Amino acid sequence: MKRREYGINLDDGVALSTEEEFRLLYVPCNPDETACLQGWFADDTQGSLLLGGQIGSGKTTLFKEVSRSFIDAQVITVRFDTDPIEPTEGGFCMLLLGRTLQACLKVGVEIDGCGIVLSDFPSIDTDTWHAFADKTTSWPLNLQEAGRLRDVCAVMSESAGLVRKACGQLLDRLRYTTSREPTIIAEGIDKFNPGTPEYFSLKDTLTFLAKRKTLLEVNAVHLFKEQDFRPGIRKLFIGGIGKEMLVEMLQKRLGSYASVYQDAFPFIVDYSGGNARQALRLLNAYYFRRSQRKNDHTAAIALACHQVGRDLLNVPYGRFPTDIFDVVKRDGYMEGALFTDREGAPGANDAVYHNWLFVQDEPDSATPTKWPAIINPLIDEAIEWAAVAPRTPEEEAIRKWAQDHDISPLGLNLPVDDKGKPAWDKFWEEIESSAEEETLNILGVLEEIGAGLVGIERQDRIIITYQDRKNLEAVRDFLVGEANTYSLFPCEEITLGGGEGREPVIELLARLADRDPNRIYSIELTGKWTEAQLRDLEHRRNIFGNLQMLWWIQQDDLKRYLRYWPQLRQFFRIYRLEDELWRGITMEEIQADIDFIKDISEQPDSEGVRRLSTVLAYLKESGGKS
Amino acid sequence: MNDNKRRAIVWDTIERLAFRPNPPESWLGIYAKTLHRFWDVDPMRDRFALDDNFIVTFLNLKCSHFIESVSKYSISFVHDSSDYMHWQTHVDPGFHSKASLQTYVANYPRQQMDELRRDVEAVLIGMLFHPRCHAHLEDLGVRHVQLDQDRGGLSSYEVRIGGGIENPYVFLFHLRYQFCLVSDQVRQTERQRLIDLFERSIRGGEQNVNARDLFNFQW
Repeated sequence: MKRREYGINLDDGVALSTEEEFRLLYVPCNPDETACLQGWFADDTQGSLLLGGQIGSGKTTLFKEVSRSFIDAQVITVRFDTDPIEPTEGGFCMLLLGRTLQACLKVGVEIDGCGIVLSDFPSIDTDTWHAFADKTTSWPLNLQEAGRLRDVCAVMSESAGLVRKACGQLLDRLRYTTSREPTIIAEGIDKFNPGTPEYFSLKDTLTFLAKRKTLLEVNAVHLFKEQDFRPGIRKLFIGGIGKEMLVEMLQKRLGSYASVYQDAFPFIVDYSGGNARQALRLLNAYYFRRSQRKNDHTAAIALACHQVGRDLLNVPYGRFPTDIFDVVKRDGYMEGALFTDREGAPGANDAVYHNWLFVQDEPDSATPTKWPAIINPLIDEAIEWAAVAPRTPEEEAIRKWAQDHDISPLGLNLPVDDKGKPAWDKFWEEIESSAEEETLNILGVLEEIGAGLVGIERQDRIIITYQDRKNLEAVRDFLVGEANTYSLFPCEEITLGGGEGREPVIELLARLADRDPNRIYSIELTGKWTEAQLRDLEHRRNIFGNLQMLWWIQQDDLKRYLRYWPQLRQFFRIYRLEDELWRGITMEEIQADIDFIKDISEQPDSEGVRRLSTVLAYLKESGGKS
Repeated sequence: MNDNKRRAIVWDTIERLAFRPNPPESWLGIYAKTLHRFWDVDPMRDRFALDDNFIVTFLNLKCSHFIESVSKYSISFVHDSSDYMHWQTHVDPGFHSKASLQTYVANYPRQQMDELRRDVEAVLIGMLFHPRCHAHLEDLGVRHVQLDQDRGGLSSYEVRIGGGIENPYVFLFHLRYQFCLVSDQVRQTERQRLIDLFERSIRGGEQNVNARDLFNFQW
């Protein structure tokens, strides 16, 4: 992604990846952990290591920053979240074997005699290990190819132990050939919530990897599941980011313009809870409100908190671990035993995995079981706790604005009862009901998503939800057509039908095999997606990282889906279309845009002209405003 | 031919080449769609017509214009949050100015082509980059803003609103440059680009400079 050299570089908290991004935007938030990782990479005698942090804590960016220095090292990277054809034991084993084979073949390691033979997998019609390795590590280009890979997965599921043993053999041969301990990077384990069937399928592979020199990228909750890896495994925790570092991060994102918006930094930092992505999402929302909606500072802070809270947080009723919240509020820490305690574990796990609580740091040596923690400020600030520190006049002004406008968690001011417990149910009801009011017409949506849609310097992922489908094609054509008045943006339309017997995720992988950052991907989710399909999409969040996407999902369906997407929703912003869709759009304006594109384009039938002509025809047909 | 006469020809030629769009829709459209790129900010959705406005968010300023013809227009600067009017100017061709009485239709002297680049630079400085007659934003009551100096950012003192600019397209184009405070480096690069562009166009005897080239619009 091309970034701006001097000015503003906002996004929804996507991990940094390019040289340019690191040069312009990287802040060394975790110097100790960085040094530790560098040492681990350089030292062949090191064993496995869990790199753990909560969603949005900056794990991936930290890991990429360190691994950039070891680009030439013999490293085997296995991405368990994005790359398996299916999230089953066979799928994970196939990927591990494929990646191990690639590393071995690269340096001429003999494969035959490792314990498996090509004829074990007849559905992959090949007689070379090179081709086998390539096919088992690439996304399928069509459903037939996916079917063949699934057959391989089925065979591997039945003999998973044998496959892992073969991987072990190959890794030993690789060590002998290169005279170095093979380094394995196991990415994306953090996307698997413990307790889900997919995580269970992954466990034996994790145990195998934990015996090698493997860096395992995990969520903070996995750090308490040592038994899934190996007893005594070394752990590296990425906790909350300090205030000064967060301010530096915000400054870098705003470039030269930082001084114009610096009044907001203390609030954004406080409401971020030390979480990098929450801070960047708040900054993005705040900047939009200030620069495009003309909200003053106070309103912009309150509205940013509202939007980010709504987009990132979701709590199914009945699963909200209120007892844990009360204890964390009172004590300022979580007992590590909570994560292993049969009764407390599900609640503690949920609270941390969903970022309702932020674990700030590792316990200090004097209190080795007490993990410093806070309630996510976007939740915490909604409650009128009895004995909180006095708020500053500015904080009070923001809360008052939010309360007066009935719009933000900051303004809910939920009372606590005699026992000091807040009315949690009311909190979530308020959050849900306030979202009902916020529908946008098509121009409003375009304003909200325009920075990503019409700009080449950022790609955003947007979910547009609607009550009645009506003519979504015309809406999509309008948005794509308008984007094409700024630059040439081709659009790929994808309809993914979920439900039993369907393979929407495989279909998506096939369509995204040729990833194009300059393309707009318009994806409509239809049918009744199964839980397994929704979770599969959830794990693969990172494949959407640098793509401009518009997802279209019916409103009631989305409410159900979001419960399965604590990871996926981190990369998306959600907007709801109102029924009076076309309010404010005239046929003359559409015609003017068509003429404009014709005037500047060398192609007579460019994407923009085609899209806007369809919109014009639709408006004429439906008696649109003229 | 002396410097002043040559530069008068260059001034007139530049205006004719780039700042008399007919029809003006594409020129205005590209103007609006490229402001954010030049200022290094997120794009705002913009349609742009003869009677329209754009917002300089980091200065909290709305610039409204009404163009009736290439010699008749008005421009105003309004505080974007309060609608307080900072400044307004009208150009009425029914009355004379010294500039309106002096039009050079001659060609640039071929035998003095070695001087062309220097002349183009001198003209663009007076026309766009540092108008001889100007007001600073603070003079108009706009709050002073200093962008981050460590990153090359400029202060609003570096905005010079030119006086006596009779062509609305020149006026809009000079605002684009003047409101670019993100980095002095960006301004310097733009100066060189425009000098290159007009030197090349005049030397090549071109009839016009299209809006895509003028705004460096890569579509």
